[in-house]
Amino acid sequence: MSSQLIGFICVAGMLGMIALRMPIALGMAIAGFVGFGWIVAFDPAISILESGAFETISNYDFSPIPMFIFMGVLASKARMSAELFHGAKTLFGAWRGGMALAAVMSCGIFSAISGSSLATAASMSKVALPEMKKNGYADSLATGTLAAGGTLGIMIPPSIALLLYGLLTEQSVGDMFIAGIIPGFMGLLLYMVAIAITVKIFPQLATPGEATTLRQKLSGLKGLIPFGGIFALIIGGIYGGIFTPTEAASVGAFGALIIALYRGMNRRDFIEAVAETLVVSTMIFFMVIGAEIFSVFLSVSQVSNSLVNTVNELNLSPIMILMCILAFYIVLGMVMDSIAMLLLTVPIVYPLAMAAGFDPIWFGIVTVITVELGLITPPIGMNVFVINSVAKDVRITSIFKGVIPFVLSDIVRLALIIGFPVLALGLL
Amino acid sequence: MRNLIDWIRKLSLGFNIIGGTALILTMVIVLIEVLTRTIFGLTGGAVDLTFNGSFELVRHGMMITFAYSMPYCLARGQVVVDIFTDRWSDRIKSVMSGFYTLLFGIFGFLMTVRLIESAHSASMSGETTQDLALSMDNIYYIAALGMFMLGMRGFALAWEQMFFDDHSQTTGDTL
Repeated sequence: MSSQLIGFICVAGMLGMIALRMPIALGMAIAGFVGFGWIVAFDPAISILESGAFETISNYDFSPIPMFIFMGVLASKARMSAELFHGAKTLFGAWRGGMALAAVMSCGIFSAISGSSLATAASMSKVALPEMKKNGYADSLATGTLAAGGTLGIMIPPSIALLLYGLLTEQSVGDMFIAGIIPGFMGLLLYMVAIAITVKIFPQLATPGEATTLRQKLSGLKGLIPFGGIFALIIGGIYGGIFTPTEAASVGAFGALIIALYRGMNRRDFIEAVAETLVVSTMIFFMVIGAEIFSVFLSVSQVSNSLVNTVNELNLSPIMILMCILAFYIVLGMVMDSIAMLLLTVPIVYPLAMAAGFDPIWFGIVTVITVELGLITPPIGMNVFVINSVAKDVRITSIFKGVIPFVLSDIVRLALIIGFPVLALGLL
Repeated sequence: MRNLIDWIRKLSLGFNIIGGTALILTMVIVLIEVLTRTIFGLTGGAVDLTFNGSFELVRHGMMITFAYSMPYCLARGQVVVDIFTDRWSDRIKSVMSGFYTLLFGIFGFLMTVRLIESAHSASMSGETTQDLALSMDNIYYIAALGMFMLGMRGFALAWEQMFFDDHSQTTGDTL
């Protein structure tokens, strides 16, 4: 049996096992282990297990992951969400839909710091949803805004997804973060435009807020300063070549710790923050170990090469190849977590994209935006279900209806970045 | 059996605390490095408190963090796709989870064996790290201990998921 055929059997087997509730990390590790053992031998396959795990957990390049997660958890413990929302609310004052705009803006900042779409959706919805409902916002707009707002952090640096993509494809993590700045803030801006257009067309969905004076607006900005400062320090430090990503993550985590302590975080909160960091980081590291073992098997089996050759024989244009890859991600995003999806697919898809002549960093940005879409598209749309768990009285269909303008705005952003790669690569 | 499983859970909790401590220490090491480098830069090299080996300390701090927190976080630290099996009975899902956790346990023991072999060969060759000259055999042994705990925790969790109806009692909270 050829190694390619064994490769395809193992990949199919892995997808089957994952569909049967096998943890994704384990699915990748088993497919990699069995496939490598089948093609080479099982004794070296055990060595791949050991080296895959040991090299991953002692890899310096992966060290920013737990630090960024720690920073995000501490930011949550410092009750950042309420302060951000109230600060942003005063900025928009009497605008119709101002609260929805404030919610998106605070989601963008919160998710940039926390790095977790789900944590953002959950935290912000507890603060912003009751206020929007009290002020007569339609359920669909209020919940849709928060579900979509949570997805912004996957692109706005520091982003775990961009970091993992950079490490998997051996691209500079700093470059990935810098490339994510314009697309990330474009996402924020386009979401705000989507809200403005939606309330213009359907004014009954939102009410105007209370007018605020310039003094109140400036005072509201104070709430954005501490964590906005950390964000600026991290990105400025990486962009200016002052910090490596590991150093930026540690400095950011320390800054968040100081703010949290200043705001009264006690010993118990601190222990909980460390424990939560360990759970989330471990979840990612289990998957990274699985992906490392799986990648070794993929290179031995030549599956990616075989896929590249097949696509070359089809004589597809690069844009057609890109569309096929993105369609594949959108379908996969309907059933799978975004980080898991990246770790599982990048080793297979990346050689295909490189053979088509795409810029690796630009391709990473396009991939991550597409993966992000999966968080709010049916039937899974994990952020939608997180919001639904907070707003139990709002029907899922209503939330999905509410995210439509944001899905459209994501598609516009994707089209712009595909059409104008300079939007992702311009700052490099 | 339940007592043994609970004892393993408590032991893995102890390992988790070591992992958490290593994470904080790793952060502190990086901060000290940044701080000393900044002081060096600001004083034009007059005050030199910089030190070698932070790269290695971070690497091994990370290794301890994850090798020692993986056993306790094994149950909660997994991503599964449940859309296709959502309607299956809880009992079947629990047995399947137990089987998969057992595989994690086997992986843990396989890695332990290989890490001990690596430690033996590092000991024979006198292999050390580049900057701090730490002996690699000790580093492999430390990792092997964490992986051994992962193996034990995997078997214990698998047992309770497959045979206990109320396995939440021994799964426990994070800390």
